[in-house]
Amino acid sequence: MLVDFATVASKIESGETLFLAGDESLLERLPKGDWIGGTIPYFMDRKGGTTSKDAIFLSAAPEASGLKIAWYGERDLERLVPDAPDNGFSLIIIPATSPAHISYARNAPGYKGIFLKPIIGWIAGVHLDDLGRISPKVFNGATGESSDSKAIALHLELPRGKQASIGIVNLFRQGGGEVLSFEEEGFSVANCLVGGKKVNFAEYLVSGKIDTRLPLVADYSGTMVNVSFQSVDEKKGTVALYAPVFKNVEYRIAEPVQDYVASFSATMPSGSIEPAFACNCILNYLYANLEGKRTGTITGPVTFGEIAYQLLNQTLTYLEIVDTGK
Amino acid sequence: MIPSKSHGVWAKLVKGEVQYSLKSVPAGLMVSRMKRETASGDPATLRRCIDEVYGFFEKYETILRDDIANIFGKEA
Repeated sequence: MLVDFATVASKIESGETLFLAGDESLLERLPKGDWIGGTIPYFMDRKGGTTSKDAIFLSAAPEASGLKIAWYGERDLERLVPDAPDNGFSLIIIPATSPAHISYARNAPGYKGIFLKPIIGWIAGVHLDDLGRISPKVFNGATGESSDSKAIALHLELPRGKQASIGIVNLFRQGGGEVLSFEEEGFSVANCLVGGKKVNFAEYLVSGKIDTRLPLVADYSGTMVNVSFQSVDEKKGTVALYAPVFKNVEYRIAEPVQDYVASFSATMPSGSIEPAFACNCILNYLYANLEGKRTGTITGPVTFGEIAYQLLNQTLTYLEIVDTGK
Repeated sequence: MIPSKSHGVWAKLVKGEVQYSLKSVPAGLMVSRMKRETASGDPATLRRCIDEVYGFFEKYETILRDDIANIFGKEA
């Protein structure tokens, strides 16, 4: 929920464990305690999409039997998995465009044992008017330190009988267009393979008049993973993406979504979800004009990228705590 | 209860010989990665993948109830 500075400060001082999102000027003044945070001024609140530099989005952590907060630079991000508890989850926040962001996006899917321990998180950002002027930051509440280059993670151990489950709501499905694959991996690509034939990707997008607000979508055995377009440079013949494409993965341009808000309600899993944490993507917020509009009951920060084990784009991501009865 | 590690479905799952549309996000991501890894045909890689996917389904059996029904219901 979106709350004022004093409310957050009081909860920290009373010993609550918190996941926070807000403006740097607020996060840097908070008291020390069991919290981590990242910068962003966009939120999905109970009243709908909101932009604010005066409030903080607070997600209270579930009951824990242990917790640890740790920094991860680009070279030691792989430690995230062995550092995570055997039963629990890790929530990671990474500053956008930082070395840690690039490293995690490229390498996380290959980390040993990554899918055995629930990892959720988000990419911290800034107000779009501040792009290039202010760097996104993440905060370690235990020490009061911040960073624009490293990731911060809170590893939370759950009591016996509880498990963490991470889900996504992705409105995009693969469209009926051609299968696209890539021989080069990364956030920027020149060529793609269309039906096995190499073509310039920028030229392909421009000549096909493809709406680049629609992401590339890969089907990972039922989980649809998006890669969103950042820009197309026809002169240089390059395409910049908000997440890397990978070799040996088949992508298609997404089917258009006619009405985001209506589709969102229709796509939500049946039954009520009460996430311990959730976030949605800034591109969904912008392209679907979500300012002032409600998308179901799930609230959280609106982010520059979402993490459900690996980096995602244009996807609502959430964490639930489940009773296992064991 | 999930079947033992020696049940043939685990190999089919990680090799992508039967295509499942899994509801669980980590299950989908994991199985997709394993399909690419086992494409080399290396028996040690196949064994490692079966060990890992079995361990995952065993640990998260409650959360993966729907996917377990989907996979093993199809095989039965």
